Amino acid sequence: MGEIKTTGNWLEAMTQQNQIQQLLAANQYTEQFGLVLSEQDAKMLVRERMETLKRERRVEFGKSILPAIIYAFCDSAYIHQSHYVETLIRLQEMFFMYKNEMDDELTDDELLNFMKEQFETVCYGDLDYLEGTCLEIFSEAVRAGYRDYCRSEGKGDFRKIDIVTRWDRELFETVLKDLE
Amino acid sequence: MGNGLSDYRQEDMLSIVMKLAEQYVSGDSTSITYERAQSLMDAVLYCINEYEHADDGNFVRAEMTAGEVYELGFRLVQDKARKVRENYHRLMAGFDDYGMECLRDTVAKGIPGFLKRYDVRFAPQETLLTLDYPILRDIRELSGVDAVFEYIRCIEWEQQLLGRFDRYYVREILRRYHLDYEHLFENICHIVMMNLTGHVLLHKPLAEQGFTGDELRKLGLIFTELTEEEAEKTIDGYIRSLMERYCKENLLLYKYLQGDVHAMAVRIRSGVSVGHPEKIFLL
Repeated sequence: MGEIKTTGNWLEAMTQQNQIQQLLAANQYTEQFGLVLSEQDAKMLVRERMETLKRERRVEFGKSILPAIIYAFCDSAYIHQSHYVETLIRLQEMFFMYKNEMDDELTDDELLNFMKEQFETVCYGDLDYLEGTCLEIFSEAVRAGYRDYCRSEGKGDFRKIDIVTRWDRELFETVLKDLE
Repeated sequence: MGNGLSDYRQEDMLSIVMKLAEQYVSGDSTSITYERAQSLMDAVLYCINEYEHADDGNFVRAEMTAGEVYELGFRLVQDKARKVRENYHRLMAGFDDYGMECLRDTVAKGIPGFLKRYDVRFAPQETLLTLDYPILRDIRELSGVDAVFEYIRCIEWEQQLLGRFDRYYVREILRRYHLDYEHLFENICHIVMMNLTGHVLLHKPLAEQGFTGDELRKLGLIFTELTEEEAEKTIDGYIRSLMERYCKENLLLYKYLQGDVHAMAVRIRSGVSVGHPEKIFLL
C-alpha cells in the first residue's frame, strides 16, 4: 500500500497561516489575564508544533491543539507573560508526548483537564514536576488499565493513584516545634 | 479499468484521510499517530483498489475525484462484507470438518470472530485472522474482506466436492493417511483426490475399497513412466471427468481443483519414486 507523502508547500503554508490566525485570535480572551502573543510568538509556536509533531510521530488534522491549551491554562496564577510562550511550548510537547505514552486512550479534553488540575494543585506551576512525576505516574496507571478518568473527564483522578509523599504541613509544624 | 493510484491528486488523498481521521477520533482528539494515519491511508487505498478492480466492469472516469472513487469502493467493500456473512451462513448450514481441527478452528471459530470485529470504515484492509486451514488457491496477495470472501468460496467448493462422498469414507481416507490426521494442517481435498486418482486410473469403482499390492505396483508403473507434465495432464483429465460425473460440470470447482494439479502430480510421483505408493493411494 502507498505511503503518506508530504503535501504541497502551498497547503502547508495555508495551514500555518490559519493556525497563526487562531493563536492571535485567542489574545482577545487571554489579555484579561495579562497574556498576549505577538505575531512572532505565534509563528514560533506553530514552528515548534511542527517539530513536536514530527518528534512524537503524530499528525494533526484540521484543528490544532494549541488554542485549546491556551484556553485551558490562561487563567492560571502560575503563568506570566514573561514565560508565556516557553510555557505553551512545554505544555504542547508534554501533551503530544503523553498522548503517545497513554496509547491515545485519553481524549484531548481528558488529558488537558488532568494536566491543568495537576499544574494548579500538585505542581504549583512546576512544569518539570508535571511532566516527570504527575503525567508519568498517570500514564503508567492508564497503560495498566486505569479508566476512572472516563467518568470524571480527567478531573480529580491523580489523588487516587498518587504514590508520592509530599510536603506534610503537620509534620513540618511538629519538626518546627521540636526545633524551638 | 482505473486511473492508477498515482494519478490521484495528493491533496485529494490527504483530504480523504483527514476526514476519515476525524471520524475515527469522533471529535475526541485533534491528532493521531503516524501509524494510525498510515493505517487510515491504507484503508482509503483498499477501497479505491476495490472499485478499480471490481469484477462488474466498474470504470473510473477521468473526471472522477479520488473522493468519489473512494466512496464507491467503500460501498463495494460494505456489500462484500454483507455477502461474506450470507455466504458464511450458507456454508455453515451443511459444514463438516471431517474431524480436522484446523479446519474447524478456522471456519467455525475464526470466521465468526472476523465477522464480529471487521471494521469496514477504518480498517477494511485487515484480515484479522490467519486462515490456518490451507486451501488449494494462493490468496496471499489478498487481504481484508477480499481474502475472507475468497477463502469461504474455496471452502464451499471443497465442502461441495467432499459432500458427494460418504463422510465415513472421507474420514477413513484421512485416518489411513495419518492416524493423527485431526491435528494436521493439510488440505482434505488434496488427500482425497490423490486417492481417487488411483481408482480412476485403474477403472476401479470407489465401492471397491483398498488397493492390492498388484494394483499399487501398477499405479507405480504408470506414474514412473509419465513425465511431470504428462502426470499433470492425466490428473487434470480425471478431475474433469470426476466433475462431470459428480458435480455436474461445476466450472468454478473444476478451476479450483486445477490449482492443485501440479502439487498432486509432484506428490504422487515422489511417493511412487520412493517406493511408497500406499501412502498416496489409501483406500
